[in-house]
Parts: sequence; structure tokens; C-alpha cells
Amino acid sequence: MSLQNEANTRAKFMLSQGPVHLEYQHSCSPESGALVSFDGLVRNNNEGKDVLRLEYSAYAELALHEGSLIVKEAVDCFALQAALCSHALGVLEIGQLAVSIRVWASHRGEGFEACRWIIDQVKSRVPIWKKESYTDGTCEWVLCQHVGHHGH
Amino acid sequence: MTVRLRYFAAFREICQLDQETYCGQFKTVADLYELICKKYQFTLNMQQTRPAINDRFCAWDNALQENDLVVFIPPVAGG
Repeated sequence: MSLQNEANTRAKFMLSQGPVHLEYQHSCSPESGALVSFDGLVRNNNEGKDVLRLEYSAYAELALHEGSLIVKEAVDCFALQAALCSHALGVLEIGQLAVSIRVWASHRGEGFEACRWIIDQVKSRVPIWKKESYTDGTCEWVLCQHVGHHGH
Repeated sequence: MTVRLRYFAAFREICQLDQETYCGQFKTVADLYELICKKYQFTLNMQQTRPAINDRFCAWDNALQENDLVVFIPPVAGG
């Protein structure tokens, strides 16, 4: 296996049409002592409004490029054995999986830290947009993400 | 100069277009954004929007070349 292929296997960002189903059977390195996961779900409320469903759309070419940079940066910065991230596109109902992250690290500390860093970076850098439909029949684009802000 | 533009999310809904070819007098991506904002009454300013040329993020002062693909990216909301 070439170095390039190995790097691609160790750090992967994907877009999923519909809810995410992340396969994470990773041929784990014996150095890994922690597998940390984060799953983002569609919640039934946002900023005081009752959410019925969401629709995600993306600028796919740039989203895949930027998402891949993020997971590769995470592998390098946190000395991970591997990092995977998959984000849903299209219509999602309440409770469905919008984003999944898995990181393999030597210890839990860098695993938790890397997982948090990846989701924060994805929310602030990857060109994916969310349109919320509310129970009152209205809908709107969510315009909210900046680095360092929490929630959502 | 002529460039290609693609629109996403809120911008796509405002101008009712997925893409177009645009011909005008501009040098940088910021010049072009000003013209497009006037054309479609976009209200997001340059601090709220990020530009991309040929599927990569770029700076607002990047010079454009003939036939470049330009995208103005409204605030993202993944996750």
C-alpha cells in the first residue's frame, strides 16, 4: 500500500445521501487504546421553535475537500491512528443521524479532544447548509456557525 | 471577463438559479461579489460570506481568470 493510500484510509470524510450509516470496522492498529465516537442527531427544537424535519445540502466538491483536510489535520495534530467522519445530505426526520465521527487514539484524552475538534471544525468550515422546517408550516435556512460558538 | 457562478442554499433561493455565466467588468472576487449583490439584492456582507474559486476557498482579493468557477458561500450550518 502506498503512503498516500494509507493516509486516505486513516483519515476519511464522506457525504451520505440520507441518514448516516457509518461503517467503522477499522483494521485497528495495536497502538490504539481508545475509540471515541460522536453522533449528531436531528433534534425536535431549535431556538424556541418546534422542528419537524431538516434538509441538508452541500457544495459537494468543496465539502469533500475541506472535510478531508479536517480529518487529516486531526490525525496529524492529535497523533491519531485513524479518524472517520460522515455527514448526511437530504431530508432527515427527528432522531435520524446527521453526522458521525470515529477516532482511534492511543489514549482517551486525545481521542475525546480530537472528536470535539473535528465536529467543531466541520460545523464552521465545511460548506453544508441546513434548512429547518417547523411544525407551524414555516421553514428557514440556519445561519449560525462560527468557530468557538457552541450549541446546535 | 466571463466567469461561471454556482449558487447554494439561501443564495440559490434568492436568485432562483443553480448556476449562470456572468460577463462584466471586475478584477477580484470581491469586485464580482459587489456586482452580484447588486444584481440579486443579496444582503449578506463579506464578513458573513466566504468565496471559493474552482472548488477551493480563496481570499476576497484573489484575482479572477477567464472562465473561473466562482461560488459565494453563505454561513455554513453542518452538524
